[in-house]
Amino acid sequence: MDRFEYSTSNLQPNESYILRSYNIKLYDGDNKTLFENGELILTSHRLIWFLPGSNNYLSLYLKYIVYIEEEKPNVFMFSKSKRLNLYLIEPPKIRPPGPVSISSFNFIKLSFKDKLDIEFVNALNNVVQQKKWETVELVQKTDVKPPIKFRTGIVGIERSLEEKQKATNESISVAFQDLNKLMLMAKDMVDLSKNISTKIKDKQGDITDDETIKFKSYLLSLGVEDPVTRDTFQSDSEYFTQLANEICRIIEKPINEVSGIMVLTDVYCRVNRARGLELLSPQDFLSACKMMEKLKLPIVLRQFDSGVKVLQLASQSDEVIVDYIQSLLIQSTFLTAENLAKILDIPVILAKERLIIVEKFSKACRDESIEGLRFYPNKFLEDLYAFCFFFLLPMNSINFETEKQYSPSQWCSRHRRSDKVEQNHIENVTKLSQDVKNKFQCESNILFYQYQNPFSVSLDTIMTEMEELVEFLLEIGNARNWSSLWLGGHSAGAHLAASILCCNLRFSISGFILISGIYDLRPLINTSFNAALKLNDNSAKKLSPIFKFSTVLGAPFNNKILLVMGEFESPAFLEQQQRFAQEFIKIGLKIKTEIISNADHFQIVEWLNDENYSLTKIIIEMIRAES
Amino acid sequence: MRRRPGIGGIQKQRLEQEKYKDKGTILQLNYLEQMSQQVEIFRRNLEEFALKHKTEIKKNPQFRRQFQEMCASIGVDPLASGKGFWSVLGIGDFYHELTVQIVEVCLATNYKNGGLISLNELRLRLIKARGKSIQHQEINNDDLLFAAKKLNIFGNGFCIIEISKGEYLVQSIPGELNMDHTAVLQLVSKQNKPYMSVSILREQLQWDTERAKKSLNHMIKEGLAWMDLKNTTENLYWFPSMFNECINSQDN
Repeated sequence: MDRFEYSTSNLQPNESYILRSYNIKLYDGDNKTLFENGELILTSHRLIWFLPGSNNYLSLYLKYIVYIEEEKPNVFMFSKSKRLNLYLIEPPKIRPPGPVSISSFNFIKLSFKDKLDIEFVNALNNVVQQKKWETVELVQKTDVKPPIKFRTGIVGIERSLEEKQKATNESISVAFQDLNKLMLMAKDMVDLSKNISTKIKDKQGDITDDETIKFKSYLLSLGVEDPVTRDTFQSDSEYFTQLANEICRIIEKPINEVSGIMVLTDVYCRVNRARGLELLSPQDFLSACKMMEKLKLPIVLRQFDSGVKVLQLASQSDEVIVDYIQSLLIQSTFLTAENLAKILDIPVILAKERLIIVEKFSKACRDESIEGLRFYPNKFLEDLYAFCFFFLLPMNSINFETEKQYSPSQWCSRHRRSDKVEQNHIENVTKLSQDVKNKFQCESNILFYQYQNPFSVSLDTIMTEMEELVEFLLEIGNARNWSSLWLGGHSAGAHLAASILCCNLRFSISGFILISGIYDLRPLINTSFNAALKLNDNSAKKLSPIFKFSTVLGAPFNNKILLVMGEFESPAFLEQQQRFAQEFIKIGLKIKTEIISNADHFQIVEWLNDENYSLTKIIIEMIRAES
Repeated sequence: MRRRPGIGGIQKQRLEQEKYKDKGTILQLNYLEQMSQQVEIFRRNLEEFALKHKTEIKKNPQFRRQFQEMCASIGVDPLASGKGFWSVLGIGDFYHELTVQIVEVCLATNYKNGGLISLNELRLRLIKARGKSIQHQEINNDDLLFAAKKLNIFGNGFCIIEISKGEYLVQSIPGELNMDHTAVLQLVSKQNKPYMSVSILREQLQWDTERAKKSLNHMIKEGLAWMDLKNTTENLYWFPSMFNECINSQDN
């Protein structure tokens, strides 16, 4: 309304009167104004409104009008339209005063009380199109050529473009209006449906089942999200059964090609691509997949803990997959999701899920770092044992005489090559320990304690770990009421066991079995082993049990310590045992020393599996004698 | 109702309640009938509407947007079922195809940007993929948002992240982005350079070093950023998901 101005009834130069209409009401945008029951005069330049009998004239320049449309009536109005909408451009900042100084609307309405004056509307349209005020201005500016030519030139083109735009705008606005109407109706229905559904929830069973189903089908067709109907209804539908069958048919072959499992998004894409037309909506697709299990189809929908949904062959079981992945893990030390995806040829997201399942089954441990998520095989074994047997593999060596003597693999006469010795030994012992594990349940079991690689940490640390381990075992022993705890070791293990003997923990240990051990570390300084051990004279002395006997005085170990060597061990080892035994004698402790005939450094423990083996008998006798 | 004492009164009360219940059921039935009628009318109107404006819906993105907004405000989902009323409009195929294409584009670019793609880049790629005809180029960002939201129900981690007014990132690999990470992404997109460093974070957002490092490391872990050690002053972190966008904005 702010485009109106106060004016007089005088016509401007070149302005001509065209038409007049009666009983017109003015609207400012959607709001009524006080200007009702007036007369409207259409001229070539303006619209002039006034109350009959008054001298106040409101005029609106036609140049403000950009668009004219008839207002479409409401659905509920059965009369023809009575109003005309005039869309206006922004008024200039400085203009003559008018009835309203500022309006928030950019359009006005002319309301014809009786009915829309078609004549008037047509005339208005014409006049606005003709734009007589423009041509006048043009003529005033350029006196040269007749103005007609300019109209058909650039101005003409502009005008035709404008008309085209208006036409499209009109059709769209028609569409928008239709849309509006449609939406209003839909809204009413949705509200009503919500009403009914709450009623259903409250008193279920007051409506018959058929009607409920009908109602639910309406909701489904409308696309209304209603928790009452969602699950129960959709699962019974014929349509979804059909869909489920179809999806199975499409996807069965591809799923077999990728080891039986596919992410749901993938399946959705493939199915829709296969269909071409009449694509499925995600909700329909999901409902159909949910039905697969009910219909006992070969493919089922499955959801992981993280929310990822997949389609999987019904025949696949988790255990088989877990075992397979576990073996892969052991083979390649660690796996990331990307690696596994490459190996199994499945998408990364699935590989990750698989690894998480393996972790759930306790067969893998995760390692999260900035480099990503890795999975390692689970090395924390479950069983716990009472008889602790330290075991250290002999190391590779080079050719020095001392080396040779301290390197049992080279001293060994059975095999040609020293590295084969180790391998053989490892194999034998592993097999033996398996056998033992299988045979004995509670009484004597073997614990494999994997301490850190001796090449990376110092002997000190290993010994501290050993002490901790023994403490731990003692705790368990107390809890489980073991009658005795015997500590034994072979080779370097014997050294460690002997070290325990010389520390405070020995009072809780019932006895020691020391097999082929080294008790004085000083000779080792001149061997290649020292590269790892890094001993010097002082540290060797500190770590050698043979020098710690002052602490062992008074320990109640009569006949509780066994020192044993194989006949075919190197002289150095034999000498070690001898000297160590001497120490015990010096402090007056009675111990048992044995030499096992025909045994070398390795066989002496490998044969422990045999019940008739002399050492076995001796050990068991000792333990039994004590208890 | 005058309350009669005694057994007679109780019986009468019970009778009354029965009658009320029956009446209620009848009223309810009326509701249902009313609903069926309305549904019929609605269906007819919808078909008319479809006849008139079907092509427009397909061609005009503003119209589509208006349509979506209205549906959302009412609480109706036109794409919910292929068998529903709205299928008459034929918009189902349009959106579902768009959905499938979005998934494909995301899968194709995942290895590069770690599952995070900007909406603009997605749109450009889609236009390229869909073909040269004018009709295909008329998809706008709202269409994409609408289609991408539908993918959520598959539980594969599709979600939309808003980093500033009108700018969105589509995440296609499940991963957690908390507010700090989102703030980093917002900053990257604002500053027009696709890299970030601890010092920039400290300056612009006034974060302390630990916090900045933690966020950037998380991005690397998720595969959303690449680390650049060549810079002599400090490490830079580059975001592939921001590359195209930055290039585009520089061209303007």
